[in-house]
Amino acid sequence: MPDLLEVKNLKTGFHTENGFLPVVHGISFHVNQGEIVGLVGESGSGKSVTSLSILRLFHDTHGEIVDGGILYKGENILTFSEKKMTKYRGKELSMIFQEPMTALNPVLKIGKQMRETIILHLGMSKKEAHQYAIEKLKSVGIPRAEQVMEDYPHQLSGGMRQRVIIAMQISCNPSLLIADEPTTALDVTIQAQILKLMEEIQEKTNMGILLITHDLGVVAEICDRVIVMYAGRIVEEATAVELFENPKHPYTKGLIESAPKIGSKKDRLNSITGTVPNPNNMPKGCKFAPRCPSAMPICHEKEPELMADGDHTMRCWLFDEEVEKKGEMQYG
Amino acid sequence: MGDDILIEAKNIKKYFPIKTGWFEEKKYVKAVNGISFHIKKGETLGLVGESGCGKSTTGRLLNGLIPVDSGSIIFNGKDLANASKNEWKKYRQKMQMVFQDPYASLSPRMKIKDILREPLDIHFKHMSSMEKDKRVEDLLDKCGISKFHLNKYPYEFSGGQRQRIGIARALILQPDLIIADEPVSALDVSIQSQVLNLMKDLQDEYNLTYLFISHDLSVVEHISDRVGVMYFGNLVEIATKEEIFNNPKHDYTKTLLSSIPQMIPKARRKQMN
Repeated sequence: MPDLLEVKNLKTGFHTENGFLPVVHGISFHVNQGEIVGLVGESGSGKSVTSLSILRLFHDTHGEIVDGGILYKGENILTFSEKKMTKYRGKELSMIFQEPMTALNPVLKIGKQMRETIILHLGMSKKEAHQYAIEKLKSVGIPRAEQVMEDYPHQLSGGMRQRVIIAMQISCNPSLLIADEPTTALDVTIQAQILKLMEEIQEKTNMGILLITHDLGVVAEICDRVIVMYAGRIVEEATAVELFENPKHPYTKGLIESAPKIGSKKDRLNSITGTVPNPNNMPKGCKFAPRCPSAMPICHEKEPELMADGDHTMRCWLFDEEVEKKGEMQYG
Repeated sequence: MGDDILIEAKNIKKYFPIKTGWFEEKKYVKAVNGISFHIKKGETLGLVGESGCGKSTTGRLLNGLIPVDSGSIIFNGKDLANASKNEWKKYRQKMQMVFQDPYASLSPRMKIKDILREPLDIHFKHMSSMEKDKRVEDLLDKCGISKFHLNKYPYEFSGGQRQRIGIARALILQPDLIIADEPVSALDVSIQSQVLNLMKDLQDEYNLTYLFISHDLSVVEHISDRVGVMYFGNLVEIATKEEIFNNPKHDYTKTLLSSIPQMIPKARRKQMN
């Protein structure tokens, strides 16, 4: 059986005044049925561009997918007609955006927005769709769902709006849900509720979830497997347990160590020096080398490939057997 | 760290009117509903709470950016409630702010050196131009911005660098108190730790007192000596950070603490339970 989602060597970028600017440089990963995969990275790492590419919402933004394939249940989405894609969006693959304030149409009642998707994809009558929508709102823990159907978005709090959006996105039982920073705009107590809700829904429906976030705490909370991106490349991939307990790539280590932890007695945080490179001016060799505490001469010369150690992959010369043999480590 | 109190708020209140119809009863948002606390010299008080709890309003009340409705603010032993405009100008030298959004808080049309010199030109008129330049350079250097950047504009810097400039801007007048309102919330994790380390170093060097306002409990725990928890305009709990994080008394504090993601993977957590 093919994977639920398989991204193969995806290359995307933007057309700018100064020519084509590549942003995602050939990334490959997969999401299985019933799995929550975290895609982690800082701003500019290409994680949101990746998620937009999967739903093909990328072309309106001067962006272009220049190479690679996105296979959904074995079919390449990139070859779909726009008509077929519309049928898939919301029904098979759906997406939750970061800003619950802007993802809903401010001039339409919640009920109308909920029914729209349901009528379109499930072919129900307006009455049936109305009842069905109320059920879905209840299933995400919205009290007095009947009244909420008559409310406008501005009458609801941020957490409630995000619940409405989740209800809307799961209303047609999609197999894959992409959540792009779903809790970043929310308060920490609401964030905990929404994460718990997503986990419950996932367990009930067995859908696959691709969770995009910059927050490793959120990743630890609900993800089974984690992909770390840096400068448009995957730099490390492993199960959540492996990644948090045995991180390999210096960038992942830095990310984990630079987050303040409650109860730690450390006076200073181990921070990563420098900043994310500008896509216009990428360093030669490993893109992380200028900030890397263990950089070796080869790191500044040649970009490493992804290397596998069982289920754990990383893009770092430190784990290359040849380099190790030559003893380049001693220069590190 | 001395035990002297630098600033004290006594039962301060701020209500914002809500627009209502002509004949309706006037309504108010009780943004800050009578709270009292103090900050000692050289100490960091963290102020946490969720959006809308009044933590930012509290910061702005302290340095007079918005006037209090009632209550008093005592800074260095002086009551600021009836201070004149000129007196406020003097006090504000001693309490500066660092804002959340380093993209919005620096004037886009001013060079970095002018942004930092402006406060000196206003407050330190006796200083020679050379002395001012020297002070700007030294401080930027301490904040990790090289002097080669002096003639650049804010847009040429990254978010983390801008926040460093924002911090330098707040420190240029050698204040006693820094009110930092979500100073690292807009920054990436790797940059956030750089800025937090910088704030700690500067505090040690200049014996600064911080009011550190944030919604992020892990950050507040890292940087604070004492922590106040706000909820709907009230200060529901204030204690040393050890007390707050190990032995919270108020139910809301307990809820907040239990909501923090723990950085322990799901699978591992399930094994532990």
